[in-house]
This record gives sequence, structure tokens and C-alpha cells, in this order.
Amino acid sequence: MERIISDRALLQVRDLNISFTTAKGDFPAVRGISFDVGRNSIVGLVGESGCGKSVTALAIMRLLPGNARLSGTIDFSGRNIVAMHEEEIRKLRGSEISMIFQEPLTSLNPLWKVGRQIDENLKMHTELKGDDRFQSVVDIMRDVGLPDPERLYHKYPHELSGGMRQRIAIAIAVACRPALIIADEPTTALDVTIQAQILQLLKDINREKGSSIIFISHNFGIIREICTSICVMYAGHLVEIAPTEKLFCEPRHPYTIGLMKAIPKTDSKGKELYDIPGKVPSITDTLPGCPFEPRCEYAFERCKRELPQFEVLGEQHESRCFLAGELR
Amino acid sequence: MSGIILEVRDLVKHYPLRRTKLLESPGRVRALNGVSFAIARGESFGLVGESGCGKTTAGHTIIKLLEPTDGKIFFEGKDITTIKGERLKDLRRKIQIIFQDTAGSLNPRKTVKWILSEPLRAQGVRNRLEIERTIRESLELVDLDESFLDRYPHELSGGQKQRIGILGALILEPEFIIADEPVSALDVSIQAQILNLMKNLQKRLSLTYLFISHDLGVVHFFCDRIAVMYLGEIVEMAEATELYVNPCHPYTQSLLSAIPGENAASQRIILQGDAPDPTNPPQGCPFHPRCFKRMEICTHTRPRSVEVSKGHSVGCHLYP
Repeated sequence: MERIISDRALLQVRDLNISFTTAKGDFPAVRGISFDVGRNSIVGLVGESGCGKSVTALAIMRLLPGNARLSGTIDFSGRNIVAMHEEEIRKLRGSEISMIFQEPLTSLNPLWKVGRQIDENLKMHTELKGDDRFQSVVDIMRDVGLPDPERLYHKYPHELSGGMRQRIAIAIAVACRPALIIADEPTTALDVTIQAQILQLLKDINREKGSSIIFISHNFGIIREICTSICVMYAGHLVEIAPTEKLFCEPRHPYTIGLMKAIPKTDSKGKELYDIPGKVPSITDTLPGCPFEPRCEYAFERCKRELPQFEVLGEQHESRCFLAGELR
Repeated sequence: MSGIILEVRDLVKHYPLRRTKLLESPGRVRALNGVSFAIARGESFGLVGESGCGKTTAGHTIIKLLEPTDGKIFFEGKDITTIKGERLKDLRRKIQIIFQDTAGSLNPRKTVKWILSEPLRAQGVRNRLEIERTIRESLELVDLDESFLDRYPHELSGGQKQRIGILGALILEPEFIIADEPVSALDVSIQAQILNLMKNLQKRLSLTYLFISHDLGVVHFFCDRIAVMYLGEIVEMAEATELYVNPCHPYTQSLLSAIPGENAASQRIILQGDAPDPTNPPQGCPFHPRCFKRMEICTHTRPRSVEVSKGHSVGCHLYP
């Protein structure tokens, strides 16, 4: 499958397959996905639980468990991450690519003061020493909006609120000014008003420091808020790629259309909410055709037998559906 | 809609904290600080707020899983604040609860059939055949079939678990259901299925819902009236549409503006700081440290709730 490839893309994922080997056999979690992350962009990976979005993120960080098998290429500014040696990838992680996880309470070390956890990243990847390094940590903490950083430096994670912990996790991620930040559901564990603060912070980081962000979420509202373009995933496949407003105004895959209608909106009050019948196929199911066929209201005979290819609908807008051109 | 089915008056719930110093009086978490509302029969009443605002405590206090510190609860006109024993058991037949975390509320070692029969047995139904028949007949309510009866919870998907959770609450044919974040653990497409199911059940079985959630989009879709809670108090209460069109309290305004995707980012009101510690709530209006319309009076005087229009009340000094 050929895709318009932009030369300036920071990250190019090509035909990525990931499967997990277990005692019960091989199970494919990600099935041949390709996408680009441009410089200075925020790309959303959206889909329901089990669609493969987090596994994709872990593959880019090369953090997959030992039983994962991987094929395809992940090209990060000219270097293929899939083929890198462990030494190389360790230098890359935290300095050029870094990650923010969903639940800061589990991703932070409970036994270390938060300042030291930020400091560790600088110690690993920079030449800074002593007071200079301390000063850098304090500056970074101030940058991510933590009040009174000199005092907070000496706190443990359990002494901070959820929003502050997530700011610490973000401080660790941005400490070395990475070119790419992967944020895996960074606001799911937070309240709405705190979520709004964190989204604003990530947007500021993108604008001021020029880091590209891959933003993973199941929430279309958040994705719309923050992303420049969106990749919709379903059952390990990429089903639609589009610039944000394009996707929301003219979704062209039945799954995307269904999800948009299923979200309660201000004008849906008093009406029956649209629901997509059935449920997401299990990772153990093998469907020869389109993965969404069993739940799709537009499905016809061909969808059962054959996996549709991407149809290019416009600039950077592609949908993997036989009817993509006709759906409105 | 006819008559009030549930009324809560000045409900207070404080959790005592462990004493940390010998001569100091122990602190208290003020989870509910004088909450009052009334729910009409057949209505869906929404309680929204962020974590720690006391919405779950309110639900648990009404169904008597917790004893209130002060205040009164009336169900069908009768005071149920202090009932015990047989009368409490009778009450539990009429009020049931659906929990957020169904994976945690279904016993992993028991089959679906056993889980569904438990409420019946607890209410003294002894006849095995009768229990079996009731369960089989009720499965259709939540669009499941008999093949599910011998499965264990881990064999069910998230949506199916929540259907079993709902059926467990419905099996005693209650009149009033407390739904505590029933869809927040579910994916969007499944969430829509469950919300539609609950709406249809309400029509078929003439249920009344107390719907507790942090998701304003969901609450607005589901509920007729909404109360917004902050730090153990109801700060604003109105009909769902009125609340969305004309939010009066600054906290409601910021909550509504913070729903991602519904508003342009430029109109967003971003609150500073975190919600305050409920063991040590601020003086005056509980919201004043984060409020963007704060005045001098807010720092020392607690606002009273006033009616700005019919059925729309707000507790804020901007509305004297």
C-alpha cells in the first residue's frame, strides 16, 4: 500500500505488524499500519480499548515485552528504530523520544523524590553537573507550571495531587527537549478541569519547544481539541487518516461515522443515542475481510471476503472502505 | 410526573480521620455539607462533579450503605434516615444501586446465575425453581440470552458485565435506581448501548434514576435535572437544558467550557490549581480559591442558595 510520503516527516511508520506469541498461538495486535508524524505536529491515535494504539506506542519506544514479534519499519529522522541495537535505543529514549503514561502514580517511582526523577533524565543524557543540573530541573519544573519548584523538588509522588503528578511526568518527558513525545491517555485519570490544564500545557510545549506529539486517546473530544491530524484504529487496523477538522466534518469510514454519532452531544438530548451494534472482535478472531464488517450497516458481500485498501479522498485524507468515496 | 419519590434534606456526612497527635481533636473529611434535593417519580436526576466532591457518598448514604452524620432522607414520604432490620430490607427491594466498576462488583468465583440469584435469596425467596424462572424471564430485559447463565464474569466483555450489573439491580423490581458512574469504564460505542438500554428500561419499568457521573456530556444526555456538586455542596441545580444554556455558577461555567471538543479553545475557562482538601475546606465560598469571578465577600461568607428562575437555584454571591 503506497502512501504519499512527505520528506520532512519526523517519524515514518511503514507496514508495522506486531503479534504476541503465547502458549495458545500467535495473536496479531497490530496489522500492517503506516502513518507519518510531521515535524511540529500533534498526531492523534484514537480507538477503543484493544485496538492496538498503546502497543503501537510501545513499539515506537521499543518497550514491547519479550514475546512480541515485530515487522515493518519505524523510521525516526533517518534511523530505523526496529533494527536498532539496545545501546542505541537507550540513548534515544528519554532524550529524543519520550513518553507520558496514563497513570502518573504508577509510572513515577514512589521511593524517589520527584526532583530526582527529573534529574535522572538529565544525568543520563546531558553533561550538566551539580548546581547547574539542579537549576535546570527547577527551571523545567517551573516551565510545566509547578508552583514553588525548589520546595516541590523534595516531595515524594504520594504527597502531590493527580494533576501535579502528571506535570512531574511531563517534566521528565520534556527535560531533554525531545523531538517526539508519545502521550498515552495522559488525561484519562484526571478530572475535567485538571484535564483542561494539562491539554493546554501540552499544546504550549508543542508550540514553544517544537516537540511533535503522538497523542493516544479513546476520547474524540480531547483528540479534536489538541491534534493536527488523526489516525483512527480498529481491531489492529488503521481505518481512517485525516486532518482533524476534516475527520470531524466529513468522516468517511463507517466506524468513524458511528463513533461520532455515539458520543452524547448537546443536540442529542431526548433522542435515542446511535449505537454501533455488536462488539469489538477479539484478538483471537481472524476475519479475512474488513474487520468492521460484522458491525457495519453499509457492509455488502465483498467486505466479508476482502480487506479494502486505503482510498485517497483528499489531501492527507484516506479511508479504508470500499464505499469511502460514496459515504456522506 | 407525579409526586416526589425521594427527598434529601441538609444531608451531612463527615468521615472521622485517625488522630495523629494525642491531645488534638481528630480531623474530619467533610464529604457532604448540607445537601438538599428532591427527585420526582419517573425522573432522571443527575449529580455531577469532580472526584472527591461527595457525589458517590451521597449515593451510598441514600441507599444506607453509609450512615449520615446529620440530615434527613425521605423515601415515598417516609423518613428512612435511621431505619434498620426488616424495614431496611424492605427498602432495599425498592432502591437498588448499579456500581461503576462492575468487574469489581461481580464475584469472580460465581456464575452469572448465582450472582443474579443472590438478591432474590437475600430477600428470602427460597424456591429454587422460582428463582430460576425469575432470572430466565428477566434476562431479556438487558438483551442477553440463557447461554450467559453458566458463565463466569471473566468470560464477559465490559458491556456484558455492566448488563449483568444492571440486571442484578433490576431483578427485585425496584422503583428507584442509583447509578454510580455506570458507563465511565466503557468504550464509546458500548457506552451508547448501555445508555440507550437504561433509557428504555426506564420507560418500560417506570424507574426513577439518580445518575451520578463526572461526564457532563453523558449527564446532559441522560438526565432531566442536574445538580452540580463541589466540595460536598450543591452549587447549582437546574433542568438539564437550562443548566447548559444558562449556567450561572462560575464553577458550572468552567466545567461546561472544559468539555473537550464542544467549545472553541479560545472560550475555555481554565481554572487555576486543584480542588481543595476536604479535610480543611476554605472559609467562605468553597470555590473561591479557584474562582475567576472572586469578590471580597467570597473569602469569608458562605453564599446561600437562591432561585434565579423557576427551578434553577445557584449558590453564589453574584446572585444576591
